Amino acid sequence: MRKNRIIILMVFLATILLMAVGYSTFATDFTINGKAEITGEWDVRITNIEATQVPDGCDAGTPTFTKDTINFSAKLNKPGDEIIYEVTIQNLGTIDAELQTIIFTEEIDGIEEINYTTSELKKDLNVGDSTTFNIIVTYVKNTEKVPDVKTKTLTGIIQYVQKETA
Amino acid sequence: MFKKKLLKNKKIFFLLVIYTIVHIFFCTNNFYTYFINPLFWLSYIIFHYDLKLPKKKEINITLIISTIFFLLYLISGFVLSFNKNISNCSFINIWKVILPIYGIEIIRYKLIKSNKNNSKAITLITILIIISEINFKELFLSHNIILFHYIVSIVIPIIAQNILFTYLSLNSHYSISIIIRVFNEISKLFLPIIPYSDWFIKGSFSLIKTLIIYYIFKYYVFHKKSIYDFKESKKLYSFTIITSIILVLFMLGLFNYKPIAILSNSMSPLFKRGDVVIYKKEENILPDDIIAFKYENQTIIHRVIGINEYYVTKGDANNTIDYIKIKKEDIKGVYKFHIKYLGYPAIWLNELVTKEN
Repeated sequence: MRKNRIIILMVFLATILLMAVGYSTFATDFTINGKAEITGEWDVRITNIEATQVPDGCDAGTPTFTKDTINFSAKLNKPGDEIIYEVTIQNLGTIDAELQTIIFTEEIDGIEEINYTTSELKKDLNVGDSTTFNIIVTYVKNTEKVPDVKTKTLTGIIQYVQKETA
Repeated sequence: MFKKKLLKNKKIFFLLVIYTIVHIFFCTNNFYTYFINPLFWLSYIIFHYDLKLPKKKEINITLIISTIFFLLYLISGFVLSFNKNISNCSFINIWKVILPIYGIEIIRYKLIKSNKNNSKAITLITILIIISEINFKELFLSHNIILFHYIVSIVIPIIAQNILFTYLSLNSHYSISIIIRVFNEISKLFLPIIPYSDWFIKGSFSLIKTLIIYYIFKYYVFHKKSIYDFKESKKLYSFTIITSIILVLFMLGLFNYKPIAILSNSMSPLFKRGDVVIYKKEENILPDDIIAFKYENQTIIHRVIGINEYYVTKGDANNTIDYIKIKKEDIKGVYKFHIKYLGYPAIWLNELVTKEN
């Protein structure tokens, strides 16, 4: 009878321990990117930037890009000129992404006669998706001032993050 | 001998076998669960109702124990928080749940009493009843992790409770089991809000409760043991029950500290795969703290490398930051210490459960 009692209690404790191990297991640490135990691959990158509209007398320069930055210098000639750059971003990884920030900084501040706008950038970029957006650099039409420098040099940082699930 | 014993109650045993088979195939059918099954048990109870009651002391103790557990269950809501129970709270459930409980306990009692010297028959009867209470759709169609949750929260408690009810039927009257079972169901049937309980809470506390009831009946109600044996049992059972309760409360994080098994080497060399990290709930998070935070039903433990609108984290061994927006409410605690290799059973279990998913 003593043996039975020990067996009952051992089975009981073993079951509780198994449950505890299970509870610990399904709340475990995991890594979403890094060297080890990669469960998904993060690879959202800018894959191209090109000038799609360059008026006569203007120079779109040679735009460059890295994984998440773009850089270009747009040289405009007269009021009303517009250079359009088209940027392509692709999600080549296995994790859905969403746009977090897009920030532009100018090399020389204060050239009010030359401004820039961007078309709307797609917020969600799911696995395999590709999106493009335009950056339009404009020499303001009805300006009386002629700036000393007619070149706008911009650096843009586009940051996508892992998409939040509902 | 086994066959001869069963033959005494051949009709009832046959009924139980048929009922079990029907249950396996129709347990998810609403017409069966709401109409056929209760109606069948109602007719059975009418014809087999036994007016003989157990000793008054047994009834009183059962009522006291059941009430205490019920109150403890309700009070636990103030610690664990409450959940809505509107969808389950309905009088139709009395018809659906209580009648089968009543009927099955009468059958168990009759079969066990007539086969009380035949342990194989008792085991077989108990197994049949266990099978008749399990939802097989959940068992065969679930994702492995959900299946594990179902086994822990439903199947193991069903097995443990049925062993207890068989023991009670063997030594007393079926009404004892019915009282315990009805008290178990009362909260689900009548209360619009019930204490929050996940699969681990359900499974572990149900198991502990079953052992406590077994211990009380065996040593305080049925008085099966000598004084010496009683003292030894008291020590053993008390140790097992208290250890289990402390373990469960620790796992739930009720002592402010909580353990977690580490599956990856992202924080190597500080701690590695297979270690167990203990973290503590803290309000003030600073850069360089190692935090445990929620992410899609998982917990990640990485170092804080920056704080702005969100907390920016990175595994020490990772090349890049975590692309996750971590809010303050996502943070579960701050790393305190770790124990080497203790998490390997969790890793093995995780590999086993997630193998085919």
